[in-house]
Amino acid sequence: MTRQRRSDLAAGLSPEERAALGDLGPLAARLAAYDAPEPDPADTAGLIARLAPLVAARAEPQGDLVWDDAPVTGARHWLALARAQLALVDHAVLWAGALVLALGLLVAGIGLGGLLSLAFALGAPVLAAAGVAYAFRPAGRTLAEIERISPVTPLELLYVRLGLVLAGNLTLALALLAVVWIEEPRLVLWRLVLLWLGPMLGLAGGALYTAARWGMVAGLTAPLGAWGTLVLLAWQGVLAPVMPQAHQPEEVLLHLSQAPGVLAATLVLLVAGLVLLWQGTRLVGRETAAWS
Amino acid sequence: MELIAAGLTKRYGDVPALRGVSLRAGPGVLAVLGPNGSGKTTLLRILATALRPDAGRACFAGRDYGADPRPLRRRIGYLPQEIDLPGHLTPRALLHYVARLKGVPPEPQADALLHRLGLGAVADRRLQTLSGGQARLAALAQALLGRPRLLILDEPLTGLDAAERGRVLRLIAGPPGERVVILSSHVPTDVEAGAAQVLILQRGTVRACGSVEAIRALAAGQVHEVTVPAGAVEATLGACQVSQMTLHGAQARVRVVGPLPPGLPATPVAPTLEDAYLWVQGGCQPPS
Repeated sequence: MTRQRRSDLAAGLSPEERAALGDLGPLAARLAAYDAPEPDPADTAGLIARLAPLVAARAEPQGDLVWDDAPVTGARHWLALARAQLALVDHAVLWAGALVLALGLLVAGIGLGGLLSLAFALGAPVLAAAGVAYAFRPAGRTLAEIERISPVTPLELLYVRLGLVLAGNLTLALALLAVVWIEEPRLVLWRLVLLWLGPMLGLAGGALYTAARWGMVAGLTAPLGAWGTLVLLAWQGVLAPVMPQAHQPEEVLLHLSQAPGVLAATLVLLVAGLVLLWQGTRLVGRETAAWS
Repeated sequence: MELIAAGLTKRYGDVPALRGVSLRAGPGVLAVLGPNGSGKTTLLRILATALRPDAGRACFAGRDYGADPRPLRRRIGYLPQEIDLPGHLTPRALLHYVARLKGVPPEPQADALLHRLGLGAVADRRLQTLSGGQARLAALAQALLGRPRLLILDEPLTGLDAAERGRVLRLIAGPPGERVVILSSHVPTDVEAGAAQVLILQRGTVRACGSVEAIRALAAGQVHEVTVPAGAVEATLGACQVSQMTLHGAQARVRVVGPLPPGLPATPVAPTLEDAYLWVQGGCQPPS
């Protein structure tokens, strides 16, 4: 045994090197007689925990590079993206949604009596836009650059972020509308939701399409201009013939939620918004080369 | 597995940033050296697919940059020059986010990378509470996620101490043949030990490209050590390219690249990469 170990220890060495090392017998004997102590179970568990990530990394295939051209799609992909975005955005996004709703309620509550309330009604979307812009301000140039070169396209990120914003705001709006519905059971809840969702999607789709087609300034001007026109028309009394003759907000809501014309208009806005969103995202995603 | 680029050109308005840069890099580290404004960041952003050149072509492992970017981007790890990350994220959350963007499982590799880069203890602390060097290491960790085959790192060693620089160089090189690494620096000594190839950029053009030994050889016979009184360095050597100076009492031992004033006793020495870099940057001409 010792002789065998001695030959192993000196294997591959030249005669000069063997001579320089001298007699390895005692060393080989000590090695052969050495009994390694049984490791403590806690030590073993700790060692495995430390090594597991390294082993997993090493176990990945080390073969030649194979290009994977298959696009990554499916519910799991979208859920993973949404989960990643949720980790990225701060609570400010929810606050921005709440701010937009609060401004909407305030505008609806104070009406368009005087110049001050008119100015507020005209400026409310700008305030809301500023709040949203602050909440979604660039999270840092480094991350923007990393996102730019990630396999996820800007279009996919846009879809996920839009979806999250809509889901957040829809949750807030549904909660609010549910409270209103409890107060006034004659209201048709799903029509109220449409009443909110139709114009919102219409404006969002219009803004995205305009921005994608004619640039950011046009994308901002179009929805704000539409809102301003509507407010000024209402202030001038032009819309009076089509508006309900009621003073209490719940009466206005009741009228709006039951009027067939309003339902048709919100449906048209909803469909138009979806079409414009689709067309706008197609424009955004047209560039597909790496150097685009 | 090679990265090949030909004739890369980029202008920002009237200002040329890259003027027909071509390069070829195999597995190992290619260090891009150059002063500020030489076009390093523009070149690296183009190679990382973050920026489109005005002209030129590139391909990596046979994959054309003009094609669908997603397969290419799945294989690229990129560290931008400026580290400006959301302060509310932790290093671990950052890695999880980027892993999901890349479509790879975040764990266990995020944990392994954070530990290997010495960030294990601060993995769950907000980035805004970390030092600049730690934030840079966290950003570097995200570039290493998913076993990238093309690693593009813009000044990855800035702000790191000597021990961290060594650790980072070993980590980014990876196993032999594993990946092509393109990293930029304006400090030649940082990359001398770890780079297989060096490319020197100046005003958007390639001034020299080759192995470290080949670049050093460009300055062969041009580097001398002279000893002068410490108070007379500026008067004696003011017009020369000085790469290093050490004080020994009242005397200064100075390493000079290029021609020396006539009659000054000097000892020729073997050039370092920094000497060669200065020699190439100086136009390989006598200093004016």
